[in-house]
Amino acid sequence: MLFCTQQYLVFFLIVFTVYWVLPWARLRVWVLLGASYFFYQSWNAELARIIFLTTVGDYLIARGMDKWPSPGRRKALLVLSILGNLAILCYFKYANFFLESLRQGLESAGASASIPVLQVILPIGISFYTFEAISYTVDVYRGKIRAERRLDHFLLFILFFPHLVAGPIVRAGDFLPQVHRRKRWSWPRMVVGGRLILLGLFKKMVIADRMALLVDPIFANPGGYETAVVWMAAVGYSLQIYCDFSGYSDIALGSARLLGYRLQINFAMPFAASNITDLWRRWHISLSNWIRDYIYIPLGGNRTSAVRSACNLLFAMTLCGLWHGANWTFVAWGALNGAYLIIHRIFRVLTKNMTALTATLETIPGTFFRIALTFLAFTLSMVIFRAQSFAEAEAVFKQMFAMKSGAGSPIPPVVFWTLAATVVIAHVVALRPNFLSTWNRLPAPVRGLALASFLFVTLILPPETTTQFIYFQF
Amino acid sequence: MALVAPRRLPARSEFFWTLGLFLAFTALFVVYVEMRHPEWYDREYQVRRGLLNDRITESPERPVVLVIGSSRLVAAVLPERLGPIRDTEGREVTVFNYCRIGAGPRMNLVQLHRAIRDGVRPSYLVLELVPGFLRHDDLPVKEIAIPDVGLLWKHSNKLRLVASTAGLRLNGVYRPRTALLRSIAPEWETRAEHDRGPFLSELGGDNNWVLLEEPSKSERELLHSLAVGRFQNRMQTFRFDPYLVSAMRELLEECKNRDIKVAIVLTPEDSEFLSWYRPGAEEELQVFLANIRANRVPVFDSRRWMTDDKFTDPHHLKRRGAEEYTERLGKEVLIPFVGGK
Repeated sequence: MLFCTQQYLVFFLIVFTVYWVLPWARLRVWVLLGASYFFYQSWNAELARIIFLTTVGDYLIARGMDKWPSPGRRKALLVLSILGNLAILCYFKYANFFLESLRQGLESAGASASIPVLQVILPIGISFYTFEAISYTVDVYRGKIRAERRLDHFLLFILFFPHLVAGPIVRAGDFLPQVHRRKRWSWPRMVVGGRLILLGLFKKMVIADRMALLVDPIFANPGGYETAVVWMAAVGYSLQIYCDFSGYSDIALGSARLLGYRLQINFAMPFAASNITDLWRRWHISLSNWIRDYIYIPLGGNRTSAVRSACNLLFAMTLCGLWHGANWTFVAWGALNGAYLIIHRIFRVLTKNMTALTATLETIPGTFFRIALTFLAFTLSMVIFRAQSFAEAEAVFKQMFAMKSGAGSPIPPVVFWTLAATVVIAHVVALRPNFLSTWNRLPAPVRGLALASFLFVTLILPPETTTQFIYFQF
Repeated sequence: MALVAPRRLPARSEFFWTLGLFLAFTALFVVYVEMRHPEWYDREYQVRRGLLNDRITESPERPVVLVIGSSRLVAAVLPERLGPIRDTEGREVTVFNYCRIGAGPRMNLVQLHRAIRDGVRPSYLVLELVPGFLRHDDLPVKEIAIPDVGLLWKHSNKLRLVASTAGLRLNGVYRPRTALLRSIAPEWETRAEHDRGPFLSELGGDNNWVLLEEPSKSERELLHSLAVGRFQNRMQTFRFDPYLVSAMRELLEECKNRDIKVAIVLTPEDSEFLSWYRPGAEEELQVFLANIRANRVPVFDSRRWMTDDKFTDPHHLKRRGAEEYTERLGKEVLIPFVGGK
């Protein structure tokens, strides 16, 4: 059930109506639980049962930590929870990847190997809810939060349908207090939720799905297209994945908001980032924060030597890449971004005392240059992310840097440029400090007219075919 | 923008203004499409209408022979393969394939009215009769506009008709978006949709759209299973649906009133398809056809004209079957019917 389908609209309207009609808080939680279970089992009923059971397991482990204060037992329970979650994640997501890598390794060493391929279906959203479950038991172990006593509340924390399949990765400390809090109907909340959903639909249906028409055929056969067009596809993929994923996140946040829950924002105008560190603070924020809090900082973070800290960063970003998928291209993408971050750190250290250079980079043209360079670096890394293999990435890079001729763009260039300009203008407008207050000062009929027109355009411009959200595969 | 909430009262009025204006825009848009661009709901009709208008503009003096029917005739009638056909006064006629995929008696009625609404004055109508479609045809709500709904009112379950058409209008902006873009901003039209066709010749004949030269084994199996799913049970439980018979009668009545000469053609079926008829169905069908003939409407039964090797599935012809069928249709139906021979 995709967020941008009529099926989801009907599902959500039913849940929304039943939820707000019910006066009892406990029953509302159960309605959301039932709806979430239904939402997930619409993909695969068996996998829904697996999530349900693992979630109950994490609940019991955390309760055990609360019950037995002995540090040894708490640690053992934590290890059990982490290993259990990682084992499930590895079995479903990485087992075949590791087995295949092992086979290739043995073959390249001259040994013949007959390694079986496991017949497993990847549960949608497994990377997201596994990380949520791990963060919960770690936080309970660290004493940051108490173990949740009510099973239904804990189940809702993991299974809540707006964030279940593609995040944002919520933290128990943020979410569970909201489950306990009594919800009251609020028009401002409804309006904000509606705006978020509308924005997400526009990003997904108008921009991401249209960019897919440019990107998919070119990445399938990069050698067949001229160099400029392959560059368009590379840039188009950055825009596509941003609009696809942030569009999903917006709809998730909006749906949650309409049900009285506030989820963490996942994107903050990432293409306005003036350096790669800034970009990673704005891109997939919930994952970046998770990696920082549960991998990078426990490894020592910035408090160790510069070399050790750089190694930690590289390791954390490589894991971030592996989190995205069972493919060496994702690992390489993560490592490349880790390298970018390290290079940026070195650059900052080296230029700390170069006031003239720093001042030049702070000017408006200098800022544009830094934004463009950051976007370029990110776009080049996304070629590796998008490619199914290194050979495919190499073919794309060859075509990008070899000035070759070939077929023209699969979509009219004016469409590409219009969509790209829309993303740029949206970044510029949304970053203006007085934009929000100006918007809210407008008369309601004007805002209504703008939003109704926006919805109208959102329904008219999508292409005939819609694609699944890219992050569903992770 | 989205994350900062306005105060309560402005928020409520913003919500109602947005909703009200969107509903108003949608209503205006739907009315506009229904009244001015019904073809936006039906790409095949849009393409055929354009081609037919072009042919009439090229040779306005020629009487028009419209062939109306389902996918069987969409594939089987290739007007370019017909030699010149002249009417009783010696004028050469324009034979145009005006069929529509999936059309049963109700859609045929809609097709005739669409042509008339578009200013086409056919002198002759070759009307397909598929016995299975007198048992059941799919209510063509997705392809029709409000004026056509009125046309189907007498010939349909009214509750179902209203519910289906009203339900589709709730989605009134999203549904015809491709046709709208094609007309106002063609560069935004999705190429994938455009590539699907329909690809037709100048006279509405198939131009490598649905006709196959020789289907592969998997294509044959798929087409066969579709035909079995759609028709086997219909033929084994054959009876005349009063709604569908009344739609066909209204079409014949309309032609009589407008002085359009009609010939009815029962289209080819292979031996497997013919074996699906329940015992007694053929006799009831012959009585029905005799009633039509009694009203001076000629009926041509071409169900057994083609051998089984000319079919891609139990009731659609291959390309060489279509070529052979068209030539025979010309000689045995069109020339006698139009030329009065």
